[in-house]
Amino acid sequence: MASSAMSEPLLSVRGLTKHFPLTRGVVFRRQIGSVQAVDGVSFDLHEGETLGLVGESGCGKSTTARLLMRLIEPTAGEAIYGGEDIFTMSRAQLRRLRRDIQIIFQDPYASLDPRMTVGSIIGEGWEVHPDLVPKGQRRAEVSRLLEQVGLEAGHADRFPHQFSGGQRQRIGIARALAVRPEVLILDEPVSALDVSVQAQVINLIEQLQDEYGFAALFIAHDLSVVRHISDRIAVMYLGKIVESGVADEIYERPAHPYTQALLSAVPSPDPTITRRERIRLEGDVPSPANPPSGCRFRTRCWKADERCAEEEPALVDRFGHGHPSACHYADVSDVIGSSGQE
Amino acid sequence: MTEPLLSIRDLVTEFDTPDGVVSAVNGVSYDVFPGETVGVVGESGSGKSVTVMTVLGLISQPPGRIAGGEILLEGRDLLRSSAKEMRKVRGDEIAMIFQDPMTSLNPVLTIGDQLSEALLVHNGMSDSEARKRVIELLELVGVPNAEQRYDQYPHEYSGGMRQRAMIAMAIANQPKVLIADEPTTALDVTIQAQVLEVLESAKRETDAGTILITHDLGLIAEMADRVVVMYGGKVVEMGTVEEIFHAPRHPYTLGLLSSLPRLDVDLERLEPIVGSPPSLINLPPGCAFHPRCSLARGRERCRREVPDLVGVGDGHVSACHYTDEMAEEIRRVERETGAAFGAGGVA
Repeated sequence: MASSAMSEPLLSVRGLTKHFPLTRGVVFRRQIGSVQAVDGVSFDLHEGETLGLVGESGCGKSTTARLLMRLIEPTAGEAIYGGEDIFTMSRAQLRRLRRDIQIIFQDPYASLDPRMTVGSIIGEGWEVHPDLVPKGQRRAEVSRLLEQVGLEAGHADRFPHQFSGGQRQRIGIARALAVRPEVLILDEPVSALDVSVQAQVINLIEQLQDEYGFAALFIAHDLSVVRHISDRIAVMYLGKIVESGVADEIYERPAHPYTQALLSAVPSPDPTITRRERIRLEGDVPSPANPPSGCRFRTRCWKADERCAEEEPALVDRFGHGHPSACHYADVSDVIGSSGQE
Repeated sequence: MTEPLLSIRDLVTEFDTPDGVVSAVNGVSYDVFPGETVGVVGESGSGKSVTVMTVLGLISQPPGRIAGGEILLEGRDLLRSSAKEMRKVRGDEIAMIFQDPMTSLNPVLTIGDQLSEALLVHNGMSDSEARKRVIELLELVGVPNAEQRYDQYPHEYSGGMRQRAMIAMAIANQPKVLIADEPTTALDVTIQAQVLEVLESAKRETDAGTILITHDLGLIAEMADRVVVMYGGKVVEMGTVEEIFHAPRHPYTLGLLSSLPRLDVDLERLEPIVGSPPSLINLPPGCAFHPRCSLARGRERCRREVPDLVGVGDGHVSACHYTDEMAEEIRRVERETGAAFGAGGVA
């Protein structure tokens, strides 16, 4: 569970911003605008907890993950890890960072090198960090990791194409765990998997987290999966966090209209639940190259008025629940009818 | 009950591959009645899509082979129809909505041209009549500024808009049967909600019998009247949506339900099905589900004998030798997960 907000956060992100330039022309390239993929995102990740980052395509959740790994450079903002800003770290510090923060990607088919055996994929990190596991023990450690993620020791000599999607995702998890990370970033780790296999991988992640105690940033669009696995949740829309809080708060007392619409749009796997009133949003998500003024959600919001166009709502705790929302007209509403259950 | 609109009987579809024969569809039977929605669920490789591709006559032969069965559309066997007759059936009597509208729309034709083509080919309308009708259809599915949107190309439409255009195309000729294969899987959840509403109203408009294929059990629970559960190329359970979700009588169905995280309850834990879906080249003997089954417990009969689909209630059928042990099994899973699958609804 969340190791309380009192302890120092492991990772502290403040004002994280990434604007991708939009250019025109081949010889005389000039910038004609920018895609505001992530715009002023702040959150903390505490030791051992799971923070769920949810939102629809284009909301900036995967860009956030890439920034934290420093696979791309931010436009502004900082991310403090171990007292240092990730974005100003030296090469040596970065090498250490990439051991401490590991990432697992969505596509288990694209993220494993097809020409490497499973054993060398899992052990690759030890080439860079040789002090982690002494050379003589590496083979045994690979076997142990394979068994721990539900595969067999003998699988070390096989190649990725000999495995199913779910098994490949397990290999990816073993590779990440091999360097004993403090933080695991999981970018849609189960969305390419069949329902029954998805549940196996979710259970595995939970079990390994109990054992190793890593903190997890769990990025997904499936709201049911996120509720199941997360301690706290941040909801993103067009590059900004619009609401955050502990999981039960977000699901049972959502205050931002976007969170409410998102939750109410998920079909319920229970045919007898009287069809709850679905909040239907009009239109599509606006382009992040040209986001609306003021509140970015206002073009699809049923509560929006002039104030929303002029004044950007701050992400603040509006009801004293420790559960900030970025809406001038935030109002708690149980849209999934979860109170009274359980 | 009335006569079924579409009746799939003992269908067998196979593919020859260098690795052996893939038995994609292994004796599948189900019916679709006018105005109802039949939800078909199953994981990758369960045969749910190949079944409807066979219905539409879209299996290329070779490598495909339809090794047996009948597909009756109002009593007419489509498997005996000529290629020319099938062209008439497709788009006129049976229409299909695919998952990915970007690959199923022609990128070099305007949306309007593509939609009116269906009307010109099947209805013999004039160009101006067709244009008028297409604009009506686009309005019906909620494409704003239909008049201008008519002359735009697919890339100028967003994903949700393209799927609306696909639905408009599918219902253009008032089909008797509408097949939707993962119609909203590529869409975001708020856009999915919009498209589902359009799909519902399109269905009401045409009173078509609908086959909805999806891996999303939530979608099935909301949209379907009856549910067909497929595994390893076979139907393993079939019943009303309430029966399937609250009183499943096949361990695979229960496994799917207990694998599912819930939005409204934070479950204690998920109870996944062990292992992964079988290879269709080398299906396990006996019941194809037995290596992953929590009920089989190594019993001889599951390994030897293919279970028949037998009635377990009015119209509710299940293909399991030990279906009478399901009530106990449901109680066990409820204890493990903390979820409730109806008030122990098994008779």
